[in-house]
Amino acid sequence: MRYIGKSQPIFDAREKVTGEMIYADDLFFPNMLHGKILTSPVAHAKIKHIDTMQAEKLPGVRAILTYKDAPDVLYNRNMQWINDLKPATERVLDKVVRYVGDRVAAVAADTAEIAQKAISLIKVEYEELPAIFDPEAALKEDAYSIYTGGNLIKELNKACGNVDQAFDESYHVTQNTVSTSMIHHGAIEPHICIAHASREGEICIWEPQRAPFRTQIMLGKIFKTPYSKIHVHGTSMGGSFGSKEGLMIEAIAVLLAQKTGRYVKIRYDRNESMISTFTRHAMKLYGKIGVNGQGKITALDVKAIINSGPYCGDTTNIQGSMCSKMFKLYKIPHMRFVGQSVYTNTQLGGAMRGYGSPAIFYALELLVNKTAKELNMDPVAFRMNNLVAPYGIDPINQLSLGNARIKDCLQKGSELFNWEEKRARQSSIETERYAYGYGVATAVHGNGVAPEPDITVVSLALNEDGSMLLRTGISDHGAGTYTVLKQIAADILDMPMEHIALIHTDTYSGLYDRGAGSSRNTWVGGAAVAEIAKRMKNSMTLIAAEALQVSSEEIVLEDEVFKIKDNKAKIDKKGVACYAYQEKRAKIIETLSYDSPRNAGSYGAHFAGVQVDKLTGEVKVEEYVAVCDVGKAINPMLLEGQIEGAILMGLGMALFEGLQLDEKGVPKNAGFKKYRMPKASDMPKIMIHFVEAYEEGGPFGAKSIGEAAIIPVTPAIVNAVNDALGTELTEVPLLSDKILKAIYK
Amino acid sequence: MKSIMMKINGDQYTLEIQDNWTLLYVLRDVLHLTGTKYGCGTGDCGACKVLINGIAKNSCTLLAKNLENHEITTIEGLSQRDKLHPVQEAFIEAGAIQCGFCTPGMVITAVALLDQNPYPTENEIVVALENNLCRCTGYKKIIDAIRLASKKRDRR
Repeated sequence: MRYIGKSQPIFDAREKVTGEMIYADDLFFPNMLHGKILTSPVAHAKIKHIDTMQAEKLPGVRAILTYKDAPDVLYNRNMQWINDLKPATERVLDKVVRYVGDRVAAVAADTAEIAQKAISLIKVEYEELPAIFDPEAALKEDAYSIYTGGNLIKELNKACGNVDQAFDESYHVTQNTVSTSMIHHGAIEPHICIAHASREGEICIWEPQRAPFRTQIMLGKIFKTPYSKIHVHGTSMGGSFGSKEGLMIEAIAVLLAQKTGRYVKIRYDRNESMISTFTRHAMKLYGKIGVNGQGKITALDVKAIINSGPYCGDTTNIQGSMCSKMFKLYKIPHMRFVGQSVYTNTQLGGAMRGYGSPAIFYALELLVNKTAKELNMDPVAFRMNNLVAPYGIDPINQLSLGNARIKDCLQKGSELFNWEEKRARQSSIETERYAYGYGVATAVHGNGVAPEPDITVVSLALNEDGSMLLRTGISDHGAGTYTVLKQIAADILDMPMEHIALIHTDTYSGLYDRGAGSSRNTWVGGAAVAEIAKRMKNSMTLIAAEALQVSSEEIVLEDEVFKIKDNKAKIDKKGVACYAYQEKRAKIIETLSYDSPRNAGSYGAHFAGVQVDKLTGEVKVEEYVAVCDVGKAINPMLLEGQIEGAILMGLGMALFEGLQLDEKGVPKNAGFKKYRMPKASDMPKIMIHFVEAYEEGGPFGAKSIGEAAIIPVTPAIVNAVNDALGTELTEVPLLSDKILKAIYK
Repeated sequence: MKSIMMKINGDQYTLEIQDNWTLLYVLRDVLHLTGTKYGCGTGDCGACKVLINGIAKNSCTLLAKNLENHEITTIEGLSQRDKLHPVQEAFIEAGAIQCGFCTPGMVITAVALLDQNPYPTENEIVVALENNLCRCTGYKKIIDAIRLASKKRDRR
């Protein structure tokens, strides 16, 4: 193995560390205009009147848009393919606004400053409508309906066994209710898009985009333009975590470009990125566990209320995704999930790292801890008694769970954390001011979207000098995907990574990808690259054999060249390419439409040690152990980077992150001054361990980590806080006043 | 418009600026020195940090008109074509870079720290990073990188 299992810095690190990397905001097209969007200050209203006269008079203003200028097309902002039938209630600009931050009007001007000024000169008269912010209140029969037909978007029911009967027969039943907050993705690069509309009717977009082929779908629908005229270029992503997908500012930029005939750049400021795009869904979950006398969980029932905000977006998919994950962690004969996605007038919920899994396992892992406590059992031992084993069967789809090494993770984590020893001396280290607690949580996340069509297209071309061009539709969020893909190809082709150019394809290439989400990049993108590299190796072997006048079975690829076994004759890749060119009159190019055959589980067990200041209510996460079931660590350094980042992100979710709304639905803490994200000083002492056990279907047996790594973090930390204080705190974030209230209630 | 003089990355500039232009705007939109990033516009994320007379400062909250005759170093000014700054080398080696968007500000902060305090403790590094946000790395490898750069200084 030349590259697999070896740490490598991100391949474009030099560009990034020198500031030479080009992101969308660094593109300046000739004669480019700057767009700004006016957003709604009210949560729900009809626009009675918009007066743009003052704004139009401002020198440098080139175009103004209101709902009268926008296509009257209803769409869902997160269509995943052309026949995606998720509820579509959004318009590019509408005469009704449905949340604080909804789009009202837009301006293109010579500078961003003029555009901003013009926005402030647009006068809007709103006729306010009733607004509803609590999803449970929105579900009541007499609740105001945001659209006709009630606020329930979709109810999902999935079950195995006989849940009600199992609870009746349980030895012990434990229940709890938990809630999570609207979390900002916090990519340091805000949302940005540049659009151009050519005289030939082409729509061109440059933006950080994790699913360019999805942007194409929505633009095609809205502008009734064939895909053959929609050109979406994904630029380097300055972080995503789920945020760089779904139609948000693109259609506005296109409309402004169409109206002016010029390039238009729209960049959201931080407040807009927080309020007017989308967040992690706020959810409320009701859980119930039944156990028998041997400490085996016999029944699990979870009901999730998912606050979508006024547009569905990805919500129903996320509901389905969290549901499917719930059945894959514990071996429980009777399980039921009920999900209700609900329209409200809050900001929007959508995809964020984990895609519903952080909420479902937050609920489950707090519930499991509470159950263990009530049974007077150690939470690690209780889990060990109930977790799934490798190659167990998913009770819902009857498919194999694959090489699910969660028990190994839990065992190893418990050792690395010194779980038993720590708990034994816990009470002796508590002081009047500081309490110490230890928490554990387990979880699982998926790999790709199988059994749905999980398609990515790759191509690999051999140059006459022996170097290669690898084209992929997979988008790199900035986490190192392209480095990993290059490692995979270079390893199989036995050549230097530097001799493989990785080209991120755009929608004009036709080299489709479903989108960089669902933990697909390594599992699907990597497997596709492995497959095409093997095909290229095979094609080159055949030509090498012909050139060397032996049968292909006699050829081996060794020391970067094709050799006849036990013979000195050899031909290098340059020789193979030139032989093909001269003698076969052909270029060697492979193209592959790859469909991932299965969806494995990436499991993990995390342990947190916290110190709680009983005087101030502040929590310090002191130590952290994460053991992750990764299949194979292709690039250990990048893998660690993913896990470390996820720990801090989950820590933010546990302790202080969340958009807070006032009674009118206005966020009280938008912007980085008020919305606290984790800083370096929040970082605990971190220890990471990989469980490496081959997973069928992944490249070299590897599976995903980016999403899986965050899921156990929040429950591990909250379990630790509850352990420290003997409390049952369940609503994150655990702000200090909440903690003080729980201590001194 | 007002005319001011500034030294940026060693070059002397005479710039025609408006009173309300921030240094970030001048760097990015006027001079197209795009290595310095916009992340929040409120001085809270550190992506726009530059060295002003050797001190790391957020350029998004500084008005350019107040910087007459100041010496400014941006991320572009730290490396030469064939040689990176040792802090930049350390960031690569330690795996401190993921999406790269916070990286220029992080590097600037690290350079300023090590110039003033060549052998910082871990706590001093953490304190120096208090005004720099990174969502990808969880900071661990950034701290490792700064320690590595400090160690490398020893060897030079």
